[in-house]
Amino acid sequence: MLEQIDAINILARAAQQSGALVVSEIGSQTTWLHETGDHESYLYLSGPMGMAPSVALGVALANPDKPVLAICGDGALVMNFSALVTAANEAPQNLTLAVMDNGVYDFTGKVPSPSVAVDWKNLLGGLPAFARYSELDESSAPQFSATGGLSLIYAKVKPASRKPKKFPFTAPEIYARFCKYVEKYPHHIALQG
Amino acid sequence: MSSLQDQFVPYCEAAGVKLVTSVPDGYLAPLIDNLAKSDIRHVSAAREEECFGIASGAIMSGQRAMVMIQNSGFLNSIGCFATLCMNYNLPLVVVVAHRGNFFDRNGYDTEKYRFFESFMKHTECFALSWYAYRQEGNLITKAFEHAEAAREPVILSLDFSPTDDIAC
Repeated sequence: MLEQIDAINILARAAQQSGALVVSEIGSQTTWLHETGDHESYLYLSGPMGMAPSVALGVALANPDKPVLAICGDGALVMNFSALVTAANEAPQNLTLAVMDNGVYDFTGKVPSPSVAVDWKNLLGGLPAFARYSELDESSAPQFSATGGLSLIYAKVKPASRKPKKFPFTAPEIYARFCKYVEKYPHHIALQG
Repeated sequence: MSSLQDQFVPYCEAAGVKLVTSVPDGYLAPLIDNLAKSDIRHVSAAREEECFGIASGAIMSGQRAMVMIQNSGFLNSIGCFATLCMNYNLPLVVVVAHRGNFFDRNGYDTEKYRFFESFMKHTECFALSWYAYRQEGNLITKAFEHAEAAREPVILSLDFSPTDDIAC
């Protein structure tokens, strides 16, 4: 079974090759993603838990010409389960949600998450707008495109065996950097100052 | 004389709003109906907290985005508003249907009114009554201008029905 940082590393490398924008959930997804190597296309979230799929939906709708990947934790995603319904209703063709399932709240000293009750693959049977489902392992080579359809990638990962390194950015710094990065595209307004 | 119902979409268009995400309410429903007929992207969210996430993603992509929810839904979402929208200094405009006040014809929901009033009074967020400033023209444009200059969210408290015969 993959360590979470290894699963995120596979996704991050694929995202960069595809030119995808990446939104990472607060906590272990943001810190492990940063530890795989920072990139200006990363929108790191620092609060609250569960918002990665919603923020990623907004990013996807605002950037229809770019693939968008949300890296979510299992515990966080079940805190905002309804985001799957909202995403399915909008069905953006450029959005992929990746679930890192370690069955625990990683930063709490391994307190179990109720998400262990979820069968992620069969869950999507009730959300037919999700066009693709795949499972991530060591041999996976995911690809992201702006027209691939709403997708979910599931990764069963181990609870972390160590703490991640200290995360260096403030929230306003993350916003300014990401906004500057995507403003390369013509439909965006310029920020003041 | 134009009601807010008539003026709302032209105001949004003039303000350059690209995305509105909402959970409906009786005050908001006629505005959402008109938005759906416009070119502005409207996202119907399952829960109010999601609206803050969706709008934040659009704003961090450089767009002007707006949230429309009821006061009770805002109260459900305070943590997200604080730790996402305020923490990231996002120039977000939130239209809150402020139900339960003295002039609300339904005359119910006074608790949500009291708690949202308390929120506006006792936090440092920038909030203003739409009714009090109704003669100032396009409040949506003014709210975005303030939000972007001050780098903070602005709450427009919709404290009357937009279908009322009140010039805005």
